[in-house]
Amino acid sequence: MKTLEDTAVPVTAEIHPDAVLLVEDLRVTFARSGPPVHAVNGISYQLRAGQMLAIIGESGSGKSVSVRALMGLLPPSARITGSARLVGTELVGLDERSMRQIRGRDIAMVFQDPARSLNPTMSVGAQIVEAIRTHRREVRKAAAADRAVELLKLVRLPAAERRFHEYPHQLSGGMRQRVMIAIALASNPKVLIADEATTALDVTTQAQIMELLVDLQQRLGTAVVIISHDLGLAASYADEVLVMYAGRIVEQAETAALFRNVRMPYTKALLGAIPQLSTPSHSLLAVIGGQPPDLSALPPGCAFEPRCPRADEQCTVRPELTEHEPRHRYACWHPHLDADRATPPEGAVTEGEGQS
Amino acid sequence: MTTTVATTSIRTEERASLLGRVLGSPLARLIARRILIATPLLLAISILVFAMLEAIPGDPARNQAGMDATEEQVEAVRKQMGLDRPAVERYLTWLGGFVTGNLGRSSVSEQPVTSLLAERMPVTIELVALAFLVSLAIAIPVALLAARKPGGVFDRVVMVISMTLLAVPNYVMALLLVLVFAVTLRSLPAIGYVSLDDGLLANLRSVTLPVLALAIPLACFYARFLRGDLVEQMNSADYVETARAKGVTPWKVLWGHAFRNSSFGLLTLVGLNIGGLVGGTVIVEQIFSMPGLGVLMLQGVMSRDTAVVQICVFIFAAVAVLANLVVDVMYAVLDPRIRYGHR
Repeated sequence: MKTLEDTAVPVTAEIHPDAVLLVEDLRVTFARSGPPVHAVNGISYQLRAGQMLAIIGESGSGKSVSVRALMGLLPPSARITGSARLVGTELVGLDERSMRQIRGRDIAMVFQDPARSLNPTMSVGAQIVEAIRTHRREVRKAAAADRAVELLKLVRLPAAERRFHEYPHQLSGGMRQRVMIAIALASNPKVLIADEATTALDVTTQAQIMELLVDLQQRLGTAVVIISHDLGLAASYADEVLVMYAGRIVEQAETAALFRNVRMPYTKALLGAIPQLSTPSHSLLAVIGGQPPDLSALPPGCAFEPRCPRADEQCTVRPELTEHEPRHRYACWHPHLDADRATPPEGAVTEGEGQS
Repeated sequence: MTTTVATTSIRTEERASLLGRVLGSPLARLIARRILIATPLLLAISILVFAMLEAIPGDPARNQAGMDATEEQVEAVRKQMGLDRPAVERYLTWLGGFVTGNLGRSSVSEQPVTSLLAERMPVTIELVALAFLVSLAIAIPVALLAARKPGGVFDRVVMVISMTLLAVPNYVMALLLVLVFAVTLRSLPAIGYVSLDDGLLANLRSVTLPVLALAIPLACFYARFLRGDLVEQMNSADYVETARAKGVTPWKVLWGHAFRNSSFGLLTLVGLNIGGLVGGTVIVEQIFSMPGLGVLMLQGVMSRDTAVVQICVFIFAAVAVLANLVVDVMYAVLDPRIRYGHR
């Protein structure tokens, strides 16, 4: 059960004493020939130790770019402004050498496709040992190997001693993702980012990996950020949810509060796009109509306006992300308020409400 | 007494199981399989070469007998050379000789072909082996340095130079090398081969120019290929991003991660090249007067010396087949996906 203490406090309010990551007005622009691409357009949030935060959005919403910016993993064409403080260290504008020391040590990442994100030519053990010794060169190989086996046990990989010597192709997808998590945990990071970490896995394995992440977050006190397009995943595991659209946060709340009262029409449409067991077979899948916005030519108003069933001329002026209700922020002129609940789903949502 | 027997029998058992493990290992099975495939292929090649020599115009017996020989004399020579027997019989005789190590005599020098080969093969092997070593020794560091900063000054210079040198055929390269090192600088001999028996240094000096003529175009080719593959891995491979996310330094990512994966492509290329390189020695040996297999074959072709040509062409073809066999085995040794097989 979550208490009021568990809910996130927006950065605009006071800084939580347990905050490990403070992101303020983070912006990422990609330079190219032609108009620049505005991938992330001023997002702010804070992350506390032991918290699980879900960042949700479609492809191109900037969710992945925003965390890669924190890791310093973006190509040189990316221009990053704003601020992101990881336990006091400013990450924006940090030189590559210092960033390299933080990467993997204080902030680590698990990627989407475990079949490709491990080096096929190196044994599982060698890849974990490398992660350990990159940040602590004084650790001897044998000690690092012991620690690697320990990590494999920590992520509950069966027969850890044997797996240590095996190669990625000898493991299943779920096992590979456990190895990826072991690598990420090698230096006890304060923040662990899982970028679509369960998307490539089957549903059962997905649940096992998510439960592992929750368990590690609680046992080690690691703050976890899960990046996903799957609201259902966020609903089941995250403490807090950020919904992103066109590089901005459009709705943010504690998970239970958000799913009790979805306000922003985009979040509603995302929820509606999840097929339900109750949906009759062979019926059309719900989709969000229209195209995701062109990030090099964003409208001055609400970016969701062209696809929004509730849009009117007021939406040509951009609504700010505002804390309309306690700990529930959203950026919308025409939110779905409780009074609307009786009204049937409209426009963008073709099939069911998909409410959890 | 009984205990000793027991321990010995256990030891034998252990040894047997170790032998069984080695023989039953995927690698041993792979090598056996590849050899099984290569054998009929080599047999087919030998038949093809034999048929080719049958088909080309010209009569070896008339050649041997001389211009003024009468029909009877030519027939006598033909009988003496065994050319009056059916082709199949002659092929089988040749094959039998090949297996027992008797390849007949050269019709020109009257020497046994085997002793000719023993004389000539080391020269060609030395040239080819050194050419590969030198080309890889140049290409790998150059490619790694260029891939470190794609589009950087070093990368651009390397790309331009390698493209230019790649456009030069190896016989032109040979002449240019002679012009620079032998004629202008007078630092290296232009022609001739000094045997290893006369000292390593003299030997190496004598093969330097032919080896460079063979190695430079190859080095350019390998450097460009490897650099391209490395840049591709660095830009788009997911495991590279994982390594970066660990905080591994860019140079270690390039060398420790990307190069491991790129080396398989390079290996394939080297394997495919070996056949071509052995062919390239024919020209280069001729230019530098190297007493190698290529020159032997060329002389054999000129004088219709069938016994010599047959075995030379066969060796060139066999080298290409065996090189690919070796590459397949090397893959297995280097790539864990093949070494351990898929689950």
